[in-house]
Amino acid sequence: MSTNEHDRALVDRRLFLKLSGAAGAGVAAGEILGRWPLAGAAAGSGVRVVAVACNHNCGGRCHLKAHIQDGVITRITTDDSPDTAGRPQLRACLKGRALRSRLRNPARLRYPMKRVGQRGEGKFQRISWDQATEFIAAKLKRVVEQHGPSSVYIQYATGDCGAISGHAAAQRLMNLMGGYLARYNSYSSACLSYVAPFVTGYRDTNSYQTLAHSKLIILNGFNPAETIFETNSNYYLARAREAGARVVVIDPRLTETAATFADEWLPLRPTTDAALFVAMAHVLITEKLCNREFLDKYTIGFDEAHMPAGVPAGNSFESYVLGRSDGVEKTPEWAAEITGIEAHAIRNLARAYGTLHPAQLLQGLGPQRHAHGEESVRAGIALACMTGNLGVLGGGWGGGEGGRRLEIPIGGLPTGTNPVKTRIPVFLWTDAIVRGTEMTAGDGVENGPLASNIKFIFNLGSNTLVNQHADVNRTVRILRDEGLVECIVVSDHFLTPSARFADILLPADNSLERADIGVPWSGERYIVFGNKVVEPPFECKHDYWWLSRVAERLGIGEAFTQGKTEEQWLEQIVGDARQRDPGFPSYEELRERGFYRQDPEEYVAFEKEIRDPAGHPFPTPSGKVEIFSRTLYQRNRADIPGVPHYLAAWEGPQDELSRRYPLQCIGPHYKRRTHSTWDEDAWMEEADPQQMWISPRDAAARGIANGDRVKAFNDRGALLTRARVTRRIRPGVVAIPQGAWYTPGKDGVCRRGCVNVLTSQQATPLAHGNAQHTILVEVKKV
Amino acid sequence: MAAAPAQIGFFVDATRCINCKTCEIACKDFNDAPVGRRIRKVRSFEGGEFPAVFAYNLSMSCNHCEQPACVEGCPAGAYSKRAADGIVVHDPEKCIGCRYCTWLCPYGAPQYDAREGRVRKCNLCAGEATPVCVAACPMRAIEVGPLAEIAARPGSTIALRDLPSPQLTGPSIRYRVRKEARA
Amino acid sequence: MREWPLILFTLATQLACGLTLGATVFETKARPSDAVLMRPLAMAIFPVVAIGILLSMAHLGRPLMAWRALVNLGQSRLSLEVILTAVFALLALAYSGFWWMGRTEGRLALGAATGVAGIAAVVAGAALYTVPTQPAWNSGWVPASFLGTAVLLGGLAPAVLISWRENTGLLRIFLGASVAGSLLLLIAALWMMANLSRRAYDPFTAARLAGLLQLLTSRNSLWLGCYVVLVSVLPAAVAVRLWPEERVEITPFTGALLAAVVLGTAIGRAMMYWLGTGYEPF
Repeated sequence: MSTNEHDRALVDRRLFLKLSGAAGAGVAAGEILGRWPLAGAAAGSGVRVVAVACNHNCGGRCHLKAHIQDGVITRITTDDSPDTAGRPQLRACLKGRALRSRLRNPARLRYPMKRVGQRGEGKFQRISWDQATEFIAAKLKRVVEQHGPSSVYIQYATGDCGAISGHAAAQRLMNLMGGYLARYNSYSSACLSYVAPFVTGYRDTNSYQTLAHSKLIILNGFNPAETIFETNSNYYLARAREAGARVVVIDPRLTETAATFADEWLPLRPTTDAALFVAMAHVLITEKLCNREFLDKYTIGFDEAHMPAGVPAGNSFESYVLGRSDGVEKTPEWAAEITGIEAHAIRNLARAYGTLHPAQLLQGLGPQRHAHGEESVRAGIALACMTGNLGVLGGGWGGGEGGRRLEIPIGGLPTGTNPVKTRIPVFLWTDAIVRGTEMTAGDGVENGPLASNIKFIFNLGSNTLVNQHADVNRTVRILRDEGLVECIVVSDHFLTPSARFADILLPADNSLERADIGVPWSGERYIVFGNKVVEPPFECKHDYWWLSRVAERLGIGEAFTQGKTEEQWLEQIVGDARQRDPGFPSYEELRERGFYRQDPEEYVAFEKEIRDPAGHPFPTPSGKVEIFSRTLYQRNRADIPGVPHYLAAWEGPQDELSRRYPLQCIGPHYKRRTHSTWDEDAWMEEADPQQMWISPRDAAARGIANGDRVKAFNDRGALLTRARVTRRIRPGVVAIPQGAWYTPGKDGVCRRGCVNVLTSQQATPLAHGNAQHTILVEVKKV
Repeated sequence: MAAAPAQIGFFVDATRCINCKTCEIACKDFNDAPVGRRIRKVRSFEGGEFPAVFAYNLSMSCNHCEQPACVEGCPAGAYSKRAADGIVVHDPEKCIGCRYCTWLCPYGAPQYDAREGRVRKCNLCAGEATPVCVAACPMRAIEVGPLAEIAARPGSTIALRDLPSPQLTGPSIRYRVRKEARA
Repeated sequence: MREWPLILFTLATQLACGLTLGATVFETKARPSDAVLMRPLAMAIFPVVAIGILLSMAHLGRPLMAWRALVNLGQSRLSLEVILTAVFALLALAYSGFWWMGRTEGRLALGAATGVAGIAAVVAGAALYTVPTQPAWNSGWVPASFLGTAVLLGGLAPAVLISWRENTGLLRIFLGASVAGSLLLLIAALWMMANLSRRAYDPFTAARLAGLLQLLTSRNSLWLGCYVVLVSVLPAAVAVRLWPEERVEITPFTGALLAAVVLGTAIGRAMMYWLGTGYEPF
């Protein structure tokens, strides 16, 4: 069956246009924005080509250029330096290429606005910048006086990842006002970043160039073809494959990565990755494929002979796997029941992993964004150690972007030090509104207790307030209560679902309308520079600008700006970088060239710990990789075991709830968006409309045909979306790409398909992280 | 129509194509194409039975055919095939928007723009040193070159399960595909 | 239906062609004093084709550049169709003019010439669709359908729009023509479905056509059924009803019957366009 019907617009185009419709009225549909003459451009000049940046929360940070003719951007191009195997170009993705489309979206916010009506109604009236900054300053002052600085929360924000983001500027401001409630973790990698240090001491991953040396590459919930992890990660993966590597993908979906690169697809049930790995460990042990020398030398806790002193017998990983402690042997048959992968496939993969050397296991951030996500991370590292695949070229374990030590040493806007030491896990901010002062270390509070509940929120370049946080219906109920949070300040480009909940809504400038530096995730050593190429339209302003005005009104203007404009801060940042790295270009050179890049290298994570364990012990209590962690063991909790376990997920396939809600639902990233950025863009919607993947079996059982409008629901909420009936997803699982904007009808049902109306605010036990892929739903045709 | 002596064609390595649609959007940006006009388009296909499922993607714009149906059929003479390199050029100034070419092309290359009242088509970025899609593809999966050389590459084919017969118009494109995609 | 201008244009050309042939036949067979019965319909020939041509310009993205459609006359079937339709229209202008002015001298020859021009225009119109890259259309059923429409409408319109008085033989010729036209349309419909089932195509095309046939006989079966009933059953009923009559009055009812049959032909034409353009080429 040819399914190019998928490409026929599943777009409900009228609905889409309505949803992305104008906040600013009176703009004709075809009116082009983004064509304000560049300040100072000579009339009738020829084409100028200027480096610009795309600074959203994407793993790539690509080199882009705007072609400008008579003050108008006529096209966007990408890196055109020589494209060599040793130094491939930093080519932009479909989103970066659509910067003009985004720039000219007529729904752009235009003026500062103040809420009228109830919070969340999305009704605003225009005010002046003076009125806005006066209001914010007065309110902020009063809230800090009344509740203390830790009542102020600066929302997790990645819409603008530039060096001088609004988010950073707000931190700087608050640090001059006594501080703000701090947070730790991220929505991306909470379990991974929290738990990896318990195992290896710090988090790190190989660079993608090392893939060329791998004989086997296992991609576990890792989908660089759709979630750009590095500008060139897919290119390196293709080269590795062409060099003969065998690629196995473990994922409930046949993702683009799987379709293009996988020799084998293991379509496991979501939340069961740890079971798969534990069963693979069983095969490695029973078929004597473990690298015992490696385990003995570099790890503790694998077998009884290598446990720390004072721990009762039976607590090693081997004992768990062989069922010595709980009577359940973790055989492939045991795992087959749980994961839905055939036992022989599990066996074969384990054998391959045990014999093909070197091999890399790359875990994406999907498997850890689940209930008990900590365990799949720990189990993955354990497997890598069992096969001697850590710290060797071509071998290795990696979690997502892995926090490699490859950054160019460049800072951002200096934010100062936060006098408030109290930190909450980022996922629990809604709890901190409702019961902040009652939260304890058990909730993950560090240096608590909180002196106050959250009373004031800065949500600058962020859609976390409503759209990206879990359980939207619960969140909006909390936010609507003006007795809880007293003031919400939002800045953005569009009237996002979060922006609708603002008390003060401010129009921000776009990355083409200001200068800024872009720093990628950590895959290669480079940074990009984005020039300002058009004037911000209407009254759009940089967050730093209005925060400076607020600071002035609060009497800390001089301290906040130090007399510097944003550009001067950028010059300082570049100057500091040059101090640390003499090869770093001057500000002028950087602006002109648009990027600074060092040659990619074959970076091997944990190389020195493996090469010279005495001289470079792992920074763990034992100095070794802690497959068994005494620290975790001593918490004495069944859901925080000393060694990696498979723990059945709440709301997982083994939960009672699956009788009522029989389908597991995941919310993968979507290539036409960066989280929720780009949902408003018509080109992106045409390229890949919002739709739900469902297997033919599940669709047929519900009378659903391809393209049908369907409702997905559970006890927390409901959404409407279109069905894409495809073989490429495991029966029993549906996938609704995350980031679609929450667009409730009068009945509260989201018309656009925001998966977070279905997700839960229950956090994971150790990392207090978001388990946003652990959802059970039912789907029906409407 | 006599074949151009040095017919230019596309080579697309679909085994590398990750369906990222960067080529589509880069093309749109260069051509100022509005929604509804996809001058280059990536189409996805799937097959097999779960769990032995496969999928692949075919990126295509205009195939600058050796016997182009559009050149023959256009009443307004808006299409011509260049003698030197065989590129089929559409001149929007001559187009009257009758859309006959959209019926004639087996590949859907001509894209009608209701706003402008005429058709646009891939002109192989005539005037650019490198076609935009070639320069844009993050996988380096698209190439442009002499068709004779491209067709001679091992594994290159145009006989695909999901394409109409190449006998119709002689498309100047070859793909490298997985075996399931072959006709 | 997006292609409504072309649906109306092709029907108009075919109706005008049919009326021309009908008027010419009428002229050969009727008593000269009865020729005036045909006058209104014959006068209508030119306006019908002229309106059709104007409507077809609504199909263009840039109607003011319509003259450019003649540029590629040596190569393009569409250019040829445009010129032949223009020739037909010019001749029809004269022919309708003759009827309007009551000029009988040379009218028969003019009618024959106009009829030939009309057939040429209709056939050229069909030739637009019988191209290899449109396998659903690349078959004799399209010209059969176009000619059948001309014959059906050219037979039925005079049969029900003329107040017949003792011209039974002529009436029966028209009724017979309308039935013949219906038969030709039924044959065309069967031929169309046979074409969709052909195995000789490459697998991609065969699968595509089989899919269309499946849709035609399931989701769109109601339309297909309507079409068949309107273009065959109704004219047959009319023929049966009127066959023995010597006097036939024009009534709103008979006008409505004609309208229903025309609607039927429009439905059929719409389905034809859907077969070729209602989906992505690949």
